[in-house]
Order: sequence, then structure tokens, then C-alpha cells
Amino acid sequence: MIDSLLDPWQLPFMQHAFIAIVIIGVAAGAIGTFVVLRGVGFLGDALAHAIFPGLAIAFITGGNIMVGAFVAAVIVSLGIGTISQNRRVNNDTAIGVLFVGAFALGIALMTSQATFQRDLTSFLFGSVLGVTRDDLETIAIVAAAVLAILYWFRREITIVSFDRAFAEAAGLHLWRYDQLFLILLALTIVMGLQMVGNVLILALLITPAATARLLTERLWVMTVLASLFGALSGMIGLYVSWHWQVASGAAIVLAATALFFAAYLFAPASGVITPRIRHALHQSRPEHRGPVDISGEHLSR
Amino acid sequence: MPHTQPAPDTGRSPILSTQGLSVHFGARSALDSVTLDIEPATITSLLGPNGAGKSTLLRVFAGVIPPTHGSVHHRGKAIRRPVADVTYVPQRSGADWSFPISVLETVLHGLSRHAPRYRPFDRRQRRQALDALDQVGLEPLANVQIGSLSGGQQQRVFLARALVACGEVLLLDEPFTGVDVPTQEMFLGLFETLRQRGVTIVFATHDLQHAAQSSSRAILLNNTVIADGPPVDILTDETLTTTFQGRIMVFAGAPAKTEPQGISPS
Repeated sequence: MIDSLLDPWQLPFMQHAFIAIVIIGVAAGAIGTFVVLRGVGFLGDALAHAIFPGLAIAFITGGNIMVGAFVAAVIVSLGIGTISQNRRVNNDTAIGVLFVGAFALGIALMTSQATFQRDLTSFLFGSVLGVTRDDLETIAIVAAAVLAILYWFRREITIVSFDRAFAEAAGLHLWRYDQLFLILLALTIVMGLQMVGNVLILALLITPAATARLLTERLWVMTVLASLFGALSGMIGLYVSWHWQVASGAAIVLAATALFFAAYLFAPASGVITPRIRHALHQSRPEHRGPVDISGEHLSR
Repeated sequence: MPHTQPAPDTGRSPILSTQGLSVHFGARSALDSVTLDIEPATITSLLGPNGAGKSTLLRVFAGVIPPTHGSVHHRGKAIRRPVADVTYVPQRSGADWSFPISVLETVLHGLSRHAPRYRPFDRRQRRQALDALDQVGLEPLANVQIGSLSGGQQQRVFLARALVACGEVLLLDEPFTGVDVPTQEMFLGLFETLRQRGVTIVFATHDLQHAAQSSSRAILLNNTVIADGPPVDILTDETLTTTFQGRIMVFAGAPAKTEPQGISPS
């Protein structure tokens, strides 16, 4: 048992992968908390796909892939904001149009290259093999920046997410905070790209935060739990991937999904099964029955 | 011609004022040529049907919507962005009530302008927030999640969030909507207490009874000012019919009440 837990740590690339996924899980959980609360999962999915042309251009020209992806994400998020100002194009429509368009452009650019096949798959589904020490440093710096900015603007982002009319009247610039949030989201997506791929990164944003929401009514507890579940899903997924030769991205996402269903069924206050178990225990314990009056009512209640 | 009565000459300069204020959203005109002075330490009600421009006028005062034409001033200074001394209480329906925060945390949002970034709210600020909750009778529920409150309690939380930072002007958008009678009475009492402390209150409402009971001045609004003055003088059949476009029933001896939709007088 101990051996199977320690085995993967013998190899430097797996050490890198473990450290990277924990960092990404923590950052994605924290940002994901606000993705879930603001109900902008579709936007997150769109950004994850829309960075594709940036990746492709960086790949073809030999530039930095993370920078390429980030620039594409910022362009697309500004584009969505601008196009949805037209009252005949709602936000979801603008996201739909731009996200598929940008994704198709990325695929077109990628497939125009002779060596696309292997690389396309690794961008779509992620690969733990390629995390170098340099990548690890970049991921750590980006994650630290994302978390620091989120902490610094936590009140503004919370107020803008909770009550926009009040936020505006309190002097908060909605557009600016929306864009700031989108940039943090884009950075998180770009960071997770290499490990889990752009199709599955959405799961690291949404699923741990959704799991955390089932367990608490407190924002800061939700943020901490979402980060913990993100990191935990990453660790479990990597072990599964190592021992059963499953694609790492898929294993990580399945681990996160399993945690979600565990919370959905067994969350102390909101779980589907927990109240029934509690009810059954309550019924079976004689001391809880207490004295019964003549009408059969429990006097102790 | 608007039925306006000259505001009593108190010798004080107005705290809020508009001059020929018009607001357009695209091709639609929300407010047209509104000229008003609001005196300090008074309670003013804005009355009118849906879409009359009540919320728009409050949001112009709050510095959230810029005038398309004309001007708006706070103590003689043009309002271009939200002013710290002017607190706006939006309609309850705009907030996300499933959000995972407690009543106390929501009230603390009212203090966020004054809170340092690197640490949580301190003991004094939490005390201030609890005092504001106490004023609306919700201190015992400080740690409850906001979504589990009733509509009236949610409105009280919003009022407390405004009180905690309360400057000299309080703007309230439909504060009585979905609120039970005891809470309505609590609000009316609180408004009067605040007025005596020098706070100026402007609120939007559909309900003529609240306007008549609580404000010394009512402004009937339907895109422009239809009538303006003490409620007893201006709430007449004629002005109400003009404002509500015929959708009004007034019972002799009973407080007037607006009909929700489409019931016309003979």
C-alpha cells in the first residue's frame, strides 16, 4: 500500500506532475468558486476552447505557448463583452459564436502543420509527461499571482457577484471587475492546459467548487474546500493514471466527479441520502423515542 | 402643466437637485425634463406606475446613470459617479439570494469602502454592523445564511447594509415590496428617526398609503413630474389618473391604492 503510494514519487517527471497538479487544483478551486457562484461555467468552457488559436500560433511560430493562450483568452473575453453590448445578441449567443469560431480557427491552424497529430491530442486531453522544472516555476508564479489578486480584490469580486446594483452604487466599476475576473480565469485555464487539456480543465474549475458548495454556506470555507478538493482530485487522478495507465486528465476529472457525487449523496446538511440515514438512526434508537402521551405524541419533542 | 407646489422656504440649500434632467436608453426616454430640489432632512416619496422612471431617477441621484440632458447635483456639486454620502438601497430582486454569505457579512459590505485590504473586518466594524442589524431587529439572525430569510427580512438586511455606511442621503427603491405589515411599520418609524438625525430620505413606491403616511412630500412621476408637493394636496383624482394612466381606484374615506394592472375607472 505504502509502496504503491510512494512508487510514482521515484521519478522526477511524476514529482513535477504531482506538484503542478496540486498548485493548479488549489488555484482552479479558488477561481472556480466564483465561476460556480456567478453561474458562468459556459464562459469558462468557452475560454478554455477559445485559447486554441493562440496556442496554435505560438506553437507554429515557436513562441511561448502560455503567453499565446493568454493573449487569445483576453482577446476573446473582450470580444464577448463587446459583441454582447448589442441588444440583439445576448451574452450566451456571443460566447457560443466566438468560442466555436476561435476553436475552429485553432484546429485549422494546427492541422495545417505536419506534426499536429500528437500535439493536438496533448492540448485537448493534457499530458503529465511534459511538465519540466521550468513549467513548474511558471505555474507556481502564475498561481501565486492569481491567488494574491483574488485575495486583494476579494470584497469587490464578492459584492459584484452577489448584488450588481449595490456594487455599482457603491462605486465599483462592474466592467472592470468582470474583466479582472475573466483575466484570472484565463490565467488559471492556461495554467491547467498542459496537465489536463483544454477540454477537461472546465472540470477542475467547476466540479471541486460545486462539491464545496454542497458542504457549506460560507464563502471562505467554500473557497478553501474547493481548493482542497481540486488538489485532492489531482493527486488521486495521478495515482490512478500511474497504476492503471489511464490518461491523466480523464483520471483527474473522474476523481473530481466522484468527490462531487460523494458530497451530493452524503453531505451532512444537503445530501440526498444523509437525512434518510439520520431519520433511520433516529427511529431505531429507543432513547430518542421518549415518553409517549395518550395521543401517541412524543413528549420529549 | 405640472401641479407643483412651491417647496417650503426653509432657508436651506437643497441637498439634491436636478435641472432639466432627461435620461434616454437608446431610443426610449425614461425621464424627460425633470427639475427638482430635495431639501435636507426630509422624506420624499416617488410615486408612479412601472416604467415611470422612479428607479432611473434614484439611480441618477446615486451616480450610477449619467443624465442624457440636464444636470444633477449633490450639495451644488455635479454628480458624476457614486458619492460616499449618498447610499442607495436597490430592489431586493436584483441580488443572488443563494449566495453563500451570512447576514452579518452582507451588512459588512456596506463598510467595504473603509476596510483595509490585507486583513478581515475588525471588531469595531463588526460591532457597527451588528448595531445596524439591531436597528432593523435582525441582530439574532446575524450568522444565518441570507437565502434562508423571508422576503421582508432580506429587505431589512439591505436596509441595515445601507445604515451601516449611512451618509446624509438614503435612496430606497421599492423598500415596501414583499414586506409584511410589521416590517413596513418598522421602516416608517426608522425613516422618521433617521430624518430627525438629519438624514434625507427619498424612496420609490407603488403604494399611495405609504407615501401619504410617511413622506412630507410626494412626487408623482410618469416620465416627467406630474405633481409635486405634500401628499394631502397633490394626491387627487386628477393627478393620479394622469400619473397612472387611468389605472387607479380611489375609495372615499379609504386610503388610495394603485391597481396592479389594467383596471380602469369608469
